[in-house]
Amino acid sequence: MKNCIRWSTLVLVFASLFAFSGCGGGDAGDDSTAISFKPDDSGSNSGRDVEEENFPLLNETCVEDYFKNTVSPVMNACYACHVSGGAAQSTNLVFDAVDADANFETLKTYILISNRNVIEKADGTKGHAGGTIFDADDVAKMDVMVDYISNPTMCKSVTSSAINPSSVILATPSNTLYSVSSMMLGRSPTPAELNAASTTAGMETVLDAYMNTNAFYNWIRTSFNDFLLTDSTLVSRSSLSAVSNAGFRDSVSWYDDVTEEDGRSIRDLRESSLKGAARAPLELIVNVIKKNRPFSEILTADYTMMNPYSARSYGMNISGFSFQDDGFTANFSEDDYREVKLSGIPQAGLLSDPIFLTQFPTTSTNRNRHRSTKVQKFFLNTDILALADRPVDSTEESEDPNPTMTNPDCTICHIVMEPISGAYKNYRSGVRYQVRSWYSDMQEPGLSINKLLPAEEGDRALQWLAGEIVKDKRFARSIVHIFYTALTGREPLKVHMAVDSLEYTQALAFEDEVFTGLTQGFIDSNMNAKKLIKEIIKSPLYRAVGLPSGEYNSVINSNIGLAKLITPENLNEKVKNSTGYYWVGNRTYYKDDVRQDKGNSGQLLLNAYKILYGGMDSVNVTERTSELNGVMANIQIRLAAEMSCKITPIDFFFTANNRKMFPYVQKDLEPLDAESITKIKQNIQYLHKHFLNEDLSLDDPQLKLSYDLFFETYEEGKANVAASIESRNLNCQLTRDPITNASLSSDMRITRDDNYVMRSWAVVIAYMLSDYKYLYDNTAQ
Amino acid sequence: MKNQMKRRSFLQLVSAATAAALLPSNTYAAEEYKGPLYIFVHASGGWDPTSLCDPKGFEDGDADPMNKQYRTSEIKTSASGANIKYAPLGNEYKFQTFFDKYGQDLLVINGINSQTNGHSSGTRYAGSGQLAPGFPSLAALVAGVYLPSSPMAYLGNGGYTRTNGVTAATRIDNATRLSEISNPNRIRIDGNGNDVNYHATSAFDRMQAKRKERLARLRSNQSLDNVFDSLKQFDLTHVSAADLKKINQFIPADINTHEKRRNAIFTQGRLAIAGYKAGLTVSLSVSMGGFDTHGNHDGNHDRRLQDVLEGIDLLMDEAKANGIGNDIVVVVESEFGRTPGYNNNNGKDHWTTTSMMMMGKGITGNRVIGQTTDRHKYMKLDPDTLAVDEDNGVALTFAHIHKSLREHMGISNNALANEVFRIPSKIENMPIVG
Repeated sequence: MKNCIRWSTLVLVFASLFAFSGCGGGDAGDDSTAISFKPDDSGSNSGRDVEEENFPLLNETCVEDYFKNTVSPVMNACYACHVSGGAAQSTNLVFDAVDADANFETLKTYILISNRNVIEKADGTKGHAGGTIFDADDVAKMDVMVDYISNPTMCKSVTSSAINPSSVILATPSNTLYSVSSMMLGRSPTPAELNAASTTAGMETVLDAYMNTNAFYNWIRTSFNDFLLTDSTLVSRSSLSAVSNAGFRDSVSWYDDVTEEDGRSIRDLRESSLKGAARAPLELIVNVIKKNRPFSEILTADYTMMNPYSARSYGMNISGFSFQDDGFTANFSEDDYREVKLSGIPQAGLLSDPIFLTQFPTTSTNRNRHRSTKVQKFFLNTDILALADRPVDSTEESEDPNPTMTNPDCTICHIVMEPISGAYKNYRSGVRYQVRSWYSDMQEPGLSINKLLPAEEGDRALQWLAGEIVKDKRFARSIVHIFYTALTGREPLKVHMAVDSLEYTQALAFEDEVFTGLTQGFIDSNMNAKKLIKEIIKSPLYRAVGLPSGEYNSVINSNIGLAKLITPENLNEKVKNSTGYYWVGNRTYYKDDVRQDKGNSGQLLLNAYKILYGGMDSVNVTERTSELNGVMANIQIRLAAEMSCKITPIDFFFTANNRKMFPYVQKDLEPLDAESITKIKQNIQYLHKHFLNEDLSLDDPQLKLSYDLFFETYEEGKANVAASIESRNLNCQLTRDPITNASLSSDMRITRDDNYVMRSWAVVIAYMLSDYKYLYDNTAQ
Repeated sequence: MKNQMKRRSFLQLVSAATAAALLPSNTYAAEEYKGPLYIFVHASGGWDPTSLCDPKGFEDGDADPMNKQYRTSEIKTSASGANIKYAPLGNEYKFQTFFDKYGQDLLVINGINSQTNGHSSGTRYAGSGQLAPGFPSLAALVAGVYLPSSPMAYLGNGGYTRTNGVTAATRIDNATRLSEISNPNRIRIDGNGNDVNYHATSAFDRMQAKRKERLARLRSNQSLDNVFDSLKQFDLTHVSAADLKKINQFIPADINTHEKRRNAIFTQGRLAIAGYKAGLTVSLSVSMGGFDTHGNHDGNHDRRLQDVLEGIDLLMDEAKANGIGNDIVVVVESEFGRTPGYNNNNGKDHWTTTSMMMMGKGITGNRVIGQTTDRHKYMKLDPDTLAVDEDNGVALTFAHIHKSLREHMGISNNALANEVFRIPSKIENMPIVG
């Protein structure tokens, strides 16, 4: 029985509220957020048609419910500016981004002092820098709120619910491990790893091991480059120009003085220098994680990561590392990065890195504003550009020569942006450190207008800024968001001006509760990135498979768990690890082929198909495509069709215990008797585990489907061969050694498939390689 | 059902929303699109209309000239459309070439209040009709309405390309691979013109059918919308993916060798035309950068405007050559305008008055809507007559124009446009496009 009230004069006004409450029919009647109100007998709301009686007197809880469920959602437009750090942070109305309890008290106090002022600001009646943000529905809802705060009123709260993150149903530790392994390492977990991950603690132990692998650190590099885009200087071959511009012009092209007799060509040496310089920001992040140092060091490091070659470009001579004294005969690895301090430059980790400064440049008119915007977005959880999401009008020309300091339409962003621009004052001309003064027609240097740069810190302003940023709790929250996005492919939900839904508000609170816990844990761990990664993986945001029985929130349900299209880079590794070979197109597949070397450009997913399959190049294409389109689907099918044809005879070439895919069957085993059929089904069972991480019984419907695919293909194909409709010969024949490419003797070749068994297996492999669970990092059940 | 309906209502809020949640399960097969091809060109960085279609020159002795490149008296009028005025600029590609050729077709909308100075906000607003996040680009929306599951209904190459689940954006950087990709089971074509395949066609088709059956079972096991929708989108995309091969016969042989191939409007437009002729493509978003000229405005801005105008000219010629010259609509916009006069670096900064241009099927040319002051401030318009009415009129915004464009496209009453991504009723209906 719902306690519904129909207010004849306010039916339209409350249409959206009733949609939540279930009043007025419809299938939303079982919603759990029903609230109804009734005026008191003597109140000011006479004329409302009261259907039911005996409501309790107004109490705080009830009004607060109304605020949370109805008013707060329409105030998202307010929250966009009226928050700490927001454009309206200096007004008398400052909310918390997500704390509804606190916001209720804030609004209540404001209304008690200023009555309808909040409405008259929001509907444009009074001057409001944010313009008109309430429509008639919003005004009506807020009117009721003001009414209830200002006058004695009766109402009744039925229920109000939000989903508790701890009640979310989670994937098993072993299934969770499978997702992580696929995502970070591009491979399936080994049986031993899966066995160890029978408990959450066991999973953590395996994760610890994963996070010491090169594959993990490559995942870190990729994940951070996805937004830092510093690899652009590698792709565009401009990293050494950045080093030169930073003040190292004399040494940057050291390799020009080298003769080829020294062992490597000038071109090779230049390439190694280019890479060493370009990768410095990403290697700094890797270095900090690898050494379990506080993650804050990515901003506070007073050193630059260099390989032996980039070290020489920086003019550094470090015995045993840079080979200035050692000649070139020693085997210096371009992947050997060390911490190097640059004398005379107060370094501040990423913030002062020449590559970072080149990727996010400045001009004499931009005055480091771009850099500030990026620094705040990446490391202070502040999207300055989002401040421009509410209407402004800059077309009032005035005599004021400096509107960015005085015009509210400009100051909304600039007051937040410019202090950090000023903290970059010693880089105002570009990427070279030069002690400089700052512009008088901009906000003073600092972290914010409330935290200005002390005069005595002027020469090391960026180091001071880095120290302030990492002390700010927003830094830890930013890092949580970065790793969350890397792991799930999703960005955190944002407070949107245009959103006025209770579900969305509850989803924000749900997510915030998890993020707040993760942030505090990250801080408590002395900002240990590996611990943070493990905690995110263990959280319902990553690991969810369902909401608790009887509870539903569409926004939460669309923003937990995993359904992430695997990147071309990771799919490339996954194909190699699951089949034994990288996908290199319609070529002869053999292990010793240079195209089978890790990272070779002959691999289609790293080159010809990389952008088409949603990848990025950090220069022209700087965002990944996360949504499958028709071109990408065709690439998936081509991968499956081509690879399955190529690798099936190859796998059968090896002995059963050395095969990737067919340990239980031989290439001519036909499903002619129970024993053979069982072996074939066992192999299919193995394939479901190998490719899709599915533990299926032999009589599982999904296994039967795969078996049917095998059997029907076999039955039809064998008949076709017998009728000479199809050839006995394979289309993908194996005539050369799959390791060395040496020609095979005729008895070792696999060219015929008389009974159509291998071709039937090839179709099953194509089926696996083109399966959703193979192509997505997922928590599908 | 309840959950599905609720999810629809909130899809616009969810960054990872997928097309699957919005599409009926049997969407494909029966679709046939007969409307025009929509090309949305975004001039990225904030263009200067006073150097283009809302020309404002300098006068002798002008202390703070709007433009330093031409006198007010040098402003030109289109030879084919007497109402169209333009800036007398361009060298390698003269503006006169464009405006004389297309003046009779052009609808110029001046005096748009962009309501923002932010690049991302403005790009979003110009592309979607909503300043705040949450709407798909109009190019995606129209594709989602008319061909939601075509393998390349929407080519999202640049500008604002968010789809919010109404369709998937396709980005093609390498057209030469399309033939190979769109015939995924083909090894080669033999001497008789027959396909030689990796797998027998019947086996290949069986595999696809079994996968569809497996996906249906998988979906039934999922309780997370996130995974369920993703599975559904995967299924639908694979069902329609086979049609991609229809495009191959229409891709120009010289797409990667044409001397103007580096003009993104032209090359991406050629792909869109090929997709349109194949019955696969409804729309394209394409972008040209370099308009954020805070310094040396005259030296840089003019060249980029030439690229845009030449690209459109090439595209229109291509459309005519392909027999669809009367079945194309081109919309050109930018996120905001640039300040009147110059800063100390001879640049122009951000300014919230801007312009749009459009032409094509169903759009009456030789028209200019909206007006600006001598210092390029938008003027309010009577929403019914579109006449200037500074006292009682309304400021023209991207939202108004998008509302009119939706009407022109015939999608205003579609559930996607009218329920999920609705432009508020408080935005006046203005008779702009048409």
